[in-house]
Amino acid sequence: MSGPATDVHTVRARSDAVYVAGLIVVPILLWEVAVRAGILQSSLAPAPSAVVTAIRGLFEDGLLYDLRVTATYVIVAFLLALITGTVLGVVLAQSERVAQVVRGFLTFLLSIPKSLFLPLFILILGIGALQKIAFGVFSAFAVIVVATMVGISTVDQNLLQMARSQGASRAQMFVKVHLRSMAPTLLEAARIAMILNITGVLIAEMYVSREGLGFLISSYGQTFQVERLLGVIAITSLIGILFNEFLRWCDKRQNRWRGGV
Amino acid sequence: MSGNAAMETKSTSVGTIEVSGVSHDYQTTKGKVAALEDISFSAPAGKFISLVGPSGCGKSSLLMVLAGLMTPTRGQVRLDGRVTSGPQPDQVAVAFQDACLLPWRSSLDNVSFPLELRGVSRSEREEQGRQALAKVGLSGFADRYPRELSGGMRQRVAVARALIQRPSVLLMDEPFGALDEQTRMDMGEELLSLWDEIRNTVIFVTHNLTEAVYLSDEVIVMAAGPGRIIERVTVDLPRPRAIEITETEEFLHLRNRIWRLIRSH
Ligand SMILES: Nc1ncnc2c1ncn2[C@@H]1O[C@H](COP(=O)(O)OP(=O)(O)OP(=O)(O)O)[C@@H](O)[C@H]1O
Ligand SMILES: [Mg+2]
Repeated sequence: MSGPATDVHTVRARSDAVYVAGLIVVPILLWEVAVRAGILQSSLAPAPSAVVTAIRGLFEDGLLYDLRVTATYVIVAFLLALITGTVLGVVLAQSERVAQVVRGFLTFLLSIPKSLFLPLFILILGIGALQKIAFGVFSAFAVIVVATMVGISTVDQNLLQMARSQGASRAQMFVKVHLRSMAPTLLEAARIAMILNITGVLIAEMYVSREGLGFLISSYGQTFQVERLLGVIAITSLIGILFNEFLRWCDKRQNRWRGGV
Repeated sequence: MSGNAAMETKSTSVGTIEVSGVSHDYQTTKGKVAALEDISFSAPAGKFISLVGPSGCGKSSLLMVLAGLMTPTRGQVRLDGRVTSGPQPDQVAVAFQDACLLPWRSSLDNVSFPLELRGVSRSEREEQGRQALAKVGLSGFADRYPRELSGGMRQRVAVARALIQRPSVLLMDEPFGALDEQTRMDMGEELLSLWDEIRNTVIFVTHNLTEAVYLSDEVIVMAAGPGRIIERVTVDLPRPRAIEITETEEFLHLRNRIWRLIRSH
């Protein structure tokens, strides 16, 4: 069903999309022109067309392998952070006292730049996959725990009582009332967690590794292969944006019952 | 109707409530609050009973005890002669004060929620859900979300959800509390015609004395501080009752009597 209000929104969303596309396409064109006209130095700012050629070269040289390595780290770390973070959040939220103390602690943890701890991770876990994944989890974990705890504390007690009066088991209450009312909070947390998680994995790869997108970025940077560097950056950004948009799309589907826009 | 068939398989005494010596103290930071003190009454099966009394006299607390959602400090509740503890979803349904619909579910999915909890199949749920919505006059609103409904419609969805449980005891806490006088009486009339088919035991909390007398076989009048029963008024007006009955002398006499009882405490 799409009432008149929805139509207005679709039209507005569409024109927004046109503006965003314009904001991306126009500078790229200007950039291309500037390089060809000799205004920009192509060794530091290679033309977009040169970057596209470089990306083709990257794929020929086995970019897919590095992509797979990084994607595996990112996905495994994300799932681990999501599952353990949610479970821990739920457990900690059971006691009001514990929740209060832990929330304070996690707020401290959230305000510390995670990269400070990277050398420590290397000392303890070495430089392999385990360290990359662990650092990704570490980067994303706290956000999920905090969001879960906040989410649980905002679940409407009346709804729980209603479910209980109808004979809902604890598991049913958790899935059908808790999780469902927390879904918007959790989705938003997952979005932020994913950004932190990708950042964590990439930084860990840039710091020490022999493979992965982070490794490519740091090595192309060190060897002045700017076209390839920009190529990897473009691809990595694209993946981040796509994932983000996917979660935003999931979130938008809840707008009808929530009444948000 | 399938609802009636289900009711008839149960014995006629199904839905008898006996409350004996129920007291409840809430523990607060400022000490104990005596919300209920020594409440005893019995509700025979198939009776429509209203609870009235000033705000804070413990009507909702008593209902929560009856629903098995709150364990009283003292005393007990018997359902069909059996002492109960905890919710009894197969026999007791509750329509809460503020509808309590799940905001992320359509009317249909809200109404069929109790069936979903029992593992009833999707098609069966949908069929029964649509029937229940039709009973409360909301056939055309199955796909609407709670926020897309008016307050009165939401409460009707809540009533439909309680009815779908086919309860032998239906507990309602000011289900029409948020409505204007006109709509409230319309809903009362609809509720009565639904109830005439089912004839289960109803405990109905309200502030509205006209509504209480119009609907009930008996009105239990409560007083506050601590919450207690001061009188049980039998309403022996004939059924089925048309809304015009509220203008008869007998009706007004009963209503005024209850009003004076509440005022004198
Ligand atoms: N959770 C609670 N903690 C402490 N005191 C409570 C709690 N719930 C209710 N009370 C107190 O118990 C008494 C009875 O409350 P209750 O809600 O049962 O009254 P009520 O008759 O339903 O009132 P109303 O008509 O306003 O809904 C009141 O004095 C109230 O302040
Ligand atoms: Mg109340």
